[in-house]
Amino acid sequence: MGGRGPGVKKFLNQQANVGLAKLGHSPAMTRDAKREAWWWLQARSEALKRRTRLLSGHAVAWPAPGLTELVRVEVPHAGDGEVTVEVLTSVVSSGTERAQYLRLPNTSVGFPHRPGYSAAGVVLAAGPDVSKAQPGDLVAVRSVPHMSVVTAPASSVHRVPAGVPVEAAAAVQLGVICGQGVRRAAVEPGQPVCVIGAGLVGALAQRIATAAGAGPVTMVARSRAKEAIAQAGGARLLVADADRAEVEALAASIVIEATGDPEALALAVEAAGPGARVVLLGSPRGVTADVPFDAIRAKRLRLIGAHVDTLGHESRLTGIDMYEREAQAFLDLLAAGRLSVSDLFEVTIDPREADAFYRRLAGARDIVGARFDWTRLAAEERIGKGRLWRLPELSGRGTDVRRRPLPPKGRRGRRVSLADHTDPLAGASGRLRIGLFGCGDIGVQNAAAIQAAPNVELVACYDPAGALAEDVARTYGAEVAPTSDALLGYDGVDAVVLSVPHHLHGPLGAEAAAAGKHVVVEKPLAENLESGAELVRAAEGAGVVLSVCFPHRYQPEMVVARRLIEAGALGELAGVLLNFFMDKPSSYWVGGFSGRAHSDWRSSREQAGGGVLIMNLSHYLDLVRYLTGAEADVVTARTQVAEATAEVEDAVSVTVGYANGALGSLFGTAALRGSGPTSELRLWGPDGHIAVEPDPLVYTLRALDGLRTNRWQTFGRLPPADIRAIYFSRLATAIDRGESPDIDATDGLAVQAFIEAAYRSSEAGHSVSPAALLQEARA
Amino acid sequence: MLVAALPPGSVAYVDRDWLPVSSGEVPSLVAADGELAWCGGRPVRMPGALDADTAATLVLLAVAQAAVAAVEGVSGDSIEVVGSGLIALQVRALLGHRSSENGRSTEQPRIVIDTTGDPEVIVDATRRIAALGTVVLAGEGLGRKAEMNLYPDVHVRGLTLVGVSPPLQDSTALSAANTPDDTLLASCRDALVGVLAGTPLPRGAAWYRVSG
Repeated sequence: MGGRGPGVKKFLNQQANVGLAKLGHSPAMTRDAKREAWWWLQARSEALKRRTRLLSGHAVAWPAPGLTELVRVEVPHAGDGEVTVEVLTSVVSSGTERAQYLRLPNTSVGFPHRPGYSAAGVVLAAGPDVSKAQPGDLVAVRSVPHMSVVTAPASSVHRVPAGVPVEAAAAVQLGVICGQGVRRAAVEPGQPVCVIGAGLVGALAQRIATAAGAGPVTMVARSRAKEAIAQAGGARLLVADADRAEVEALAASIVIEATGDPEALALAVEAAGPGARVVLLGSPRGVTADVPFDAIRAKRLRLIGAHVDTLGHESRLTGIDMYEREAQAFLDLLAAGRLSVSDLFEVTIDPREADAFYRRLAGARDIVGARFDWTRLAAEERIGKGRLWRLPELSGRGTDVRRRPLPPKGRRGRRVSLADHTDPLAGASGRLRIGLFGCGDIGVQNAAAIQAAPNVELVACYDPAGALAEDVARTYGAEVAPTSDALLGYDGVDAVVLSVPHHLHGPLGAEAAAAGKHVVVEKPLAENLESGAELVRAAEGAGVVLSVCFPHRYQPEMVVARRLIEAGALGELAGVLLNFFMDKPSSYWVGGFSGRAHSDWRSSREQAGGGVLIMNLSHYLDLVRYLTGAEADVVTARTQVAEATAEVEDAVSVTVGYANGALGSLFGTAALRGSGPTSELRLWGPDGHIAVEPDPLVYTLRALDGLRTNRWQTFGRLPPADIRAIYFSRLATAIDRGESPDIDATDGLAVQAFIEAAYRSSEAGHSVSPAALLQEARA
Repeated sequence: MLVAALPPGSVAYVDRDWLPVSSGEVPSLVAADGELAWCGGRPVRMPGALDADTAATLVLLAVAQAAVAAVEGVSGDSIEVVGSGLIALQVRALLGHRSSENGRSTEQPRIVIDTTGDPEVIVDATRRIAALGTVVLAGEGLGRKAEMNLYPDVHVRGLTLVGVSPPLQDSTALSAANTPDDTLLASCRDALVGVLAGTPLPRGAAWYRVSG
């Protein structure tokens, strides 16, 4: 039978993999589903064994190396000899859990794994034969994972004496660990003690040693970062390298090695005096290359291994529950005010942000102690009724970016949308009267949007192709201006909208500004930076508003993405990825997509200013700024002209360095055969990842309203939006109220400078700074 | 195994357990000019009444006494002594019935006294010993590198490693109060085999006197 077990397990595992793959599960979803199935089965097995019901709660889990999640779990109600506890807080043993998380040597963690081992909370239920704790008691619990509700053996549960703070009591297992180490050191009153390491175990051991009557205690650390912790415990701190001579001169009677660094033993032996006891309290995370046996002999030292498991051996030898004894001793010290530990747990973690915490813990050595605050979860998430007949959730939803994201959820599991469903046109004020230049493809779109905006009116339009102007005027109820000058001369026009070839934005816009009209430019600002800067100067000189039409900012998914980013879903921006693909037909270069207005200006470098970058990607350049606030510091670009019919590029690749250090990669091509317009826009940071396009999805480590951490989620149902109408309406409201428009000349110039820098970089073969170009153009 | 040439008039004493050192200097006690030095350490003047053989015997016996003293009060029915040199013999003699017969214990020992100083032997002892057991380091390491995973071999099972100091850090080992009974002294001297420096040491002896 012994040999058959692993074989059966392997077979079942393979069958599960095959079955879940048939259901469309990716490897990550399969892992998730198998973990759920296993824990589902375990919980029921435990409940049936005890003949008790199930409770549901949440637990911190490591589903795979490097991943942490807050997952729903079920635990059996207390049976004989057990206590069920609603956990208020659970403490993190930073050194041990960091080692386990990083899978350092001498840690044996299998995945999935539930980390943690010390907590405190309120007793919900006690088994019939349990007398040491009753419902309502505040208790400390040893050897339990980070969970909102636990059922533990009564031997692991200790009533918290009155006056002991819950976060201090929650450190009971650490108190047991350090207490047994100090006890094995056999500290005598007044004896000098040296503690190697100023982390959580070191600090706690130092304080317990002091409480046990030790003489002067010296802590030896890598740096002075934890000096305040040492001083708070009444110890002085030496730095291992800088103060080596002082360390060697300590000649301590007791040395407690609390770092777990396998090479720290040499330092501990150096600090020890003749006949000293050196206690190995920290678990060595690796092989010690050279155990200083000669020095141990020469100084007649006693090197004492003090892992907490030795208490089990001691208990068997003595017949006394040594865990209970150490736990009680720790709680008694707290109750008597002879030991204080609350300051050691300086980091309080929302359990939903466990992943972010462990990632930080992996890289940082500045955290002494931390604790999960389970009261930050909604009551129903902390404790609920588990149903024995509930089927396991095997869908694996949200684990894989490519498949089956979760919808966002509100309280009590109700589906919600992350979008604001209030009318974006509500609150519009004023009435902005528009003269439209250009009645081609974009002109028609703008006319329609103006009509849809409640506070904007299309008064007149002009196009050198008179039939196009008449068509727009007829359709949208405007007059046709016979000439460009005539349109500018209309008293009833407050603002002009330029839906004309790029090279006309500058001169027409300047004329309009001179005529006292506000100027709205279809993106981009101009065909190049110089022309754009001149237009800005003209508008500023005339005191009129200049705005660039970047309406994609008003797409509901962009509004949501920006709000999420502002709320910290990504942390600081670290990267941007944009891919834009399409296959522009040859006819595009002589008449645009519709062929409404016959013109070849799009293929001219002089008139259009460029190809896919200025024409299509300019929207995204604005969006990245809008979403993140990040400004490009330097760009390196290459362009490619593939279509014989055009002078302008139809492919561009840009690498961007942002001012905050983030990196960006932008690629666009308008000559990708078989590709309709498709795009991929991703933004990410240390705390999350938002894939805005093609389908808006978010994955965050931060606890934000409506979102689960560590799961791919949609934005929910998004309302339809006439983004151009919103643009015009908000612009009109801003002008009416004398406020800056959402998108002003600065935004237009910033995008124009980026485009200019990319083209110059491609021509020159080196990186170019948009900011430097902008400064030059504005000078 | 050879002991390199010694200064004229000097005598080196070598415990059998010190011989497995594969290279480098063989640890030894060197007597010269009325002084005794441990493995190149600080020389200590021998009391006038003592001859070099007796002084060396007392020094090695002091190591054995320290090793036994290190486990006084430590519970353990049977103590395993690893080694076959003079120190090991003396430890066994001092332990009497507490010493397990024939080297390795058949049961998991709770105390091991190592007189070899060989890191591999020490690591092996830590792996065989019972949880909360004690390993006494009474051998001579002479700088041999000891690689060890302290987590499973010491930390988890709560072992204690006790270092026994080489004698001659002071002259107490040679004091009259430390003189053992004549029988033990005689048995130690009987186990001593003399050889000339530069000639191979014969196998099988408990310890050697190498004359320069």
